[in-house]
Amino acid sequence: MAPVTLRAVKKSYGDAPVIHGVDIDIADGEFVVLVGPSGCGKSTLLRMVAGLETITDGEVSIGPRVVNDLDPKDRDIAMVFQNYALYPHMTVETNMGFSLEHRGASKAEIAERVNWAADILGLVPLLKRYPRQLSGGQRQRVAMGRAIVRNPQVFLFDEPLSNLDAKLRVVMRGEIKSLHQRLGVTTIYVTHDQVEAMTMADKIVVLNAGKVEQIGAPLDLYDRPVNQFVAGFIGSPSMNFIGGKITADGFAAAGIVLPLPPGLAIGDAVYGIRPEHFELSPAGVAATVLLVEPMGSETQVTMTLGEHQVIGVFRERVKAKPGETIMVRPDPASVHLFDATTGARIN
Amino acid sequence: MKTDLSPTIKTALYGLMCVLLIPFVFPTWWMITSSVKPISDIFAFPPDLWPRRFDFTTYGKVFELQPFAQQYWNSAYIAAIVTVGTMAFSSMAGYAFARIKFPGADFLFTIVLLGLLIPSEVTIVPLFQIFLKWGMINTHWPLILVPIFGAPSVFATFVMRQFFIALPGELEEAARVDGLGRFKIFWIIALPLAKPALGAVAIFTFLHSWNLYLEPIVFISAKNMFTLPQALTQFTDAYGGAMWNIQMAAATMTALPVLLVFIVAQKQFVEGLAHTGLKG
Repeated sequence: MAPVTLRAVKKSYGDAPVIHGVDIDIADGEFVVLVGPSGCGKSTLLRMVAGLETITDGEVSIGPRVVNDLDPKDRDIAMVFQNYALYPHMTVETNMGFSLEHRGASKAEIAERVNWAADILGLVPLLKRYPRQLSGGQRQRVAMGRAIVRNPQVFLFDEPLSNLDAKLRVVMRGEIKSLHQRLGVTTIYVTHDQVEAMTMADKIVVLNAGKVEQIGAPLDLYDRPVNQFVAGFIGSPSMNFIGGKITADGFAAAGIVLPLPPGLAIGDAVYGIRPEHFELSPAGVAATVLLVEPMGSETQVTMTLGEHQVIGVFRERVKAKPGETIMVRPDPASVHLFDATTGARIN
Repeated sequence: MKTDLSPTIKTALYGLMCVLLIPFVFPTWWMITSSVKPISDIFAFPPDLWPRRFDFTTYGKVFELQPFAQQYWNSAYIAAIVTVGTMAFSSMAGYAFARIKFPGADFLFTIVLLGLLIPSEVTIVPLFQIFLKWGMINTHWPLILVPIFGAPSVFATFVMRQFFIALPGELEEAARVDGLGRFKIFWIIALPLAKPALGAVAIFTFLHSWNLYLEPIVFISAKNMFTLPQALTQFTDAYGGAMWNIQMAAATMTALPVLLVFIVAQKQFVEGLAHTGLKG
C-alpha cells in the first residue's frame, strides 16, 4: 500500500495535448475514481500511472518514489483491464500465478498466493479452466485475482465492468468495493459511469477535456458541484439547467419565475435543480407533463416549465397523463446557480 | 441465411460438384494407377481407369535406379529446416512489423513485400553467382537459404503480421505489468496464441520447399544430393525415354507426404489464413 501523487502531469501526442497539467493526491489505502465523459483523458491518466504511457511533463509518484521512468513491472502496481486481458492459452491458475512466476517466486509461494486469492474470490473450482470456459463475471473475478495475488502497492482498474450486463455490474461493483475494504490497497478506478463512481469511491476526480474539474467525496460533488459541468455529470437523471436572470422576485426564465434563496446578486445566471428536488405542491408553478415513467419506488416525470423541458423525480405515484398540468415546486434551499458565461458556481 | 434445398436440386448440385472434381482428382488417380501398370498398358487406347494387370515391382525399381532413399531424406530434412527457419524468421519479423513502432516500419514492410513481385527466374542467375562465390554450389545451402530469406518467407511474414495486428494490445500490456520484456512477451504470450497462423505458415512453407524444382536443378548436379522433384526427371532408359510407370511410382511416393500433410492439417491451414484475414 502506498499513496500516489500526480504533480502537473501533462500528456501530448505530437502537438496535440490531451492531459493539461493534472494534480491529484491519493492517500494510502484510498479508493479514488477517475470519472468523465469519453475522451476526457481518464484512461490515459491511469495508463500513465501504470507506465503504459509515457509522461510528457510533470511527476507521478508511488509512495516516496517518482516512477516517471520506471517500467510497469518496477512500479509495484497491478492492473485490471477493460477486456480482462487474461492469457487465453493459460488456465485460471496459471493466469493468476503468472506475475509471481516471472518475478522468481517459488512454486510453493505461488500456489499459496493463488489459493489465497482464489479462495477470496470464489475461484477455487475454476482454477483448472481456461478463460474461454468462463462467463463474463468469472473472467472479471480472475482478472481481479491476478491483480491481488501479487499484493501490489496500488490497484489500477480501467473500466473493468463495462463489458458486463447491468445486473452483473451491480454485483461486481459490490465485490470490488468489499475487496478493497478487505485488502485496504490504494485503488485508482476509471469509469465513465457516474453511478459506479458515486457508489464505490472514497474520492472522485471529475475530468473533462484533460483537466480536473473537481476532486472530492461523492456526496460533496453531488451537493456542491463547483461548476455546471460537474453538476451535469454527477447524478442520474442529470441536474436540470434553466438559463435566465436572478431578480428580486426570483429566477426569471422564459415564461416562468422560480423561487430562489434570499440574498443573491441580480444578474444573468443558470438555474440548476436536481430532479428529486422538485415536490408536488399546490403552491408551486404549473408544469405540463410530457412523459410519466413509473419506477415503482419513484416516478420520473418529463415536463415543461415555461419554455424549458425538465425532469422531476417524485416519491409519490404521479397519475397525470401527457398534456395535463401538475403543480411543482423546486426546493429553494437545493437550488444551484452558475455563472452564465463561465459555468462556475455562484451560490 | 440457411435454406432447405429440394432433393432434386441437392442431387444436381452434388452431381455438378463431382464433375468439377474430375480435373483435380484425375491426375492423381492416373499417377497412382500408372505406377502399378506395365509400361505398355499406360498408353493403351482406350485408356484403363483401373489397371488390367498390376505390377508392383516398379516401386522397388525406383530405389534401384536412383539413390531414392537418400533423395527422399534430402527433401525431408531440407523442407524441415526451411519450415522451422521460416517460422522463426517470419514470426519474429511479422511481430516486429505488427507490434513495434519504429521509424520507417511501413516503408520497410512495403520494401519487403515487393520481394513477392520478383519472379524466382529473375534472381536465379545472380543467386547462382553469389553461391558460386561462396562455394555453396552442389550443397543444400542454397535450397535452405533461398526460401528462408526469399519469397516464401516474405509471404509468411505477411501472414504472421496480419495475425499479430489482430492480437489484443491489452494482452501485451498485461504482460508488461506482469513483468515481461519484449522478447518474453513475444515468446510466452504472442507466439503460443499464433498457433493457427504458424500452422498455416508451416504447411505452405513445407509444401513450397518439398516441391521446389528450379533451384535444385540450378544449384545441384550430384545425384545423391538431388531432391525429389529433381530426381523424378531422372527415371529414363538408355535412350533418354521416360520410364513412365517407375516415374509414376516415384511421383506417388513423393506426393504421399504432401497429401498426408494436407489431409491432416487442411482445417488448421484454412483457420490459420482466416485468422489473418486472408482467404485460402
